Amino acid sequence: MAFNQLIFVCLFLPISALLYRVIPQKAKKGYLIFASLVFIAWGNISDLIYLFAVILFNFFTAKQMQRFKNDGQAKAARFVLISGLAADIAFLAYFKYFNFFRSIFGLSKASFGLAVPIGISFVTFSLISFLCDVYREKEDVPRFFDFVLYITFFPKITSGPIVSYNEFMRMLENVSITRQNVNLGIEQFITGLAKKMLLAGNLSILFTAISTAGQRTALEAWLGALGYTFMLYFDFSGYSDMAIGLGKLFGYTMPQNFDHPYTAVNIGDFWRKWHISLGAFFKNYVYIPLGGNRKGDKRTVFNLFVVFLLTGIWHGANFTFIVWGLYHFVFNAAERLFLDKVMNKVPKIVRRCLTFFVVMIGWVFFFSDSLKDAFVYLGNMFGIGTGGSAGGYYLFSFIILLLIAAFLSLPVLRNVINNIKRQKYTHYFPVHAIIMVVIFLLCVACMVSDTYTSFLYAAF
Amino acid sequence: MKNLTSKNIIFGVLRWGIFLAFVVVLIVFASQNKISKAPMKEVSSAVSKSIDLKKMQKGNDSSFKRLYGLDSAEFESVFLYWPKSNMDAEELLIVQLKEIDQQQQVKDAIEARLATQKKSFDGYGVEQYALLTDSSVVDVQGNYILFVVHKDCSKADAAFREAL
Repeated sequence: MAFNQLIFVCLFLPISALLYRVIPQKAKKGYLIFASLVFIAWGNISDLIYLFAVILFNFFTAKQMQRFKNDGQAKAARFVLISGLAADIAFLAYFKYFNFFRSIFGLSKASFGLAVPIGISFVTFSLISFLCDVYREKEDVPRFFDFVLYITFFPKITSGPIVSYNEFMRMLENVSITRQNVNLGIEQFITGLAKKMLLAGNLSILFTAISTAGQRTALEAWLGALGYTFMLYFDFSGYSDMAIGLGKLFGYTMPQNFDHPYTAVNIGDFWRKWHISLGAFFKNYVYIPLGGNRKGDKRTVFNLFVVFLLTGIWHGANFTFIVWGLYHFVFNAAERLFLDKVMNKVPKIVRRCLTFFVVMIGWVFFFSDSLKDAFVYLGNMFGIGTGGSAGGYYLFSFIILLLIAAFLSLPVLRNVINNIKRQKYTHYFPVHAIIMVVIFLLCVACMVSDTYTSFLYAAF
Repeated sequence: MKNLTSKNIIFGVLRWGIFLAFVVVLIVFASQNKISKAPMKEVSSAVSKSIDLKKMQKGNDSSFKRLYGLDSAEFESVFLYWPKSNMDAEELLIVQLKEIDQQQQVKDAIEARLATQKKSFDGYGVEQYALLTDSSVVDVQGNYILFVVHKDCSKADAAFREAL
């Protein structure tokens, strides 16, 4: 089940949210676990086998680790931590990368026995966060069902946001289902749904047509890359908005995952605005433990290399993702060493445009099936190996959509709405509600008439 | 061993027990779901020899799309025989998958097709309805899926397994 399916929007969500409101406070947590398990099993019941195994394994690992720590056996506790992390990463590697390694050695794809479990990359990060936070004594081992909820919580299990164990425990302490939270949750859910159905869905038509064409002109190649740049943003930030909105509906306030990344002034800034929860995870669990920027330039660059290599590998079992990660590493490292000093003299608007350009070129590696395809596409963008003649057609057909997408990727509209809300124009609220209902109905119409398309990040 | 309390031992045994149990589950499932290298030509030939295809006609990409709502280009290979007359219910489908993840998609499409056929014959085609209910097989074997509606469906299934 996905957030943009009719069965979720029209059946699962209203029923689960309404029941959550009426059941007694004491039963709410248990009910939320039950609803999450139904959500997971709906997609593939065998996912529950993986989840129960890793939940029990990690819970007992944390228990054993804590006992060793309490007994003053630091080495034993460290061994338990490392073996626990190794097992979690081994399961991820088995499901996600096993066939990639087989293909490197010319072997055919193997069957896993079980289907690749839902959100395995995100679940693994949650498990790593859990073990590390318990080891660092940021948190105690929770009650079993709190841990089950942390891992299975349906708004975040498929594609995040990646919430650290520490953060989730704070959320559990501050669960509040106020009318304001529910309203904000519904608003953010509908905003995310609109981003996915109305913007990403239509942009995918442009991108699919161009990327699957045998030949393309330079104009087509640029339009395709631009289409993908906005499609990926609206698809994933739309998903994140829906997840965060759902969290609010159930009283859990998850952190924002995007902050208008295409307005970034450099690549470092881009990563503070794009998939914020992934950046925070790597910062807290890889970059800082490696020494961060406290051990000189060389070590900082090495630490950045590790982080961006892992970022690339995490996104998928393909050399294209590794190259994409290293591409971002090169710019990040250059900015830290010398580029920022030069670029700080350049007007901000130019820096924003240059950053956008660099990011868009990077997405070519991200969306290509192979490095060869990526270089062919990049060649097309610069007039090498071009063909076809549909550039003008695509430009006239999609220019308005691209302009709308560009405008909505800026914070202008959000700032206007926030200003209106702050000034408490009472007549504004019914208008706002009507606008949200109309947008919701448009999204439902799209869900009914269009073929279902999954979220892009569900594949990661 | 220093301070190795009984609880520590219990937690250790529990976690590695769960780890091993899950690994065993994966091995068992994987061994039941092996990828066959047998070409579709051999598999389809073995299955079609095992049953009488007289009441069926050979399907193509468009009939596969129409009956199952799937695009044959998404799969490695598709072999379809479907009823010559709309008064018959015999059908044979073999799909060779490109990716093992496509199993669910094809299974769902077959179930939908079976449900549609049952609905069509429910109430007036007693024999056909019985055939669809009692003599149909859906067999998923790694990268191959068989769907057959035929009085000798078990023979077809045996030939299918033998050929993989």
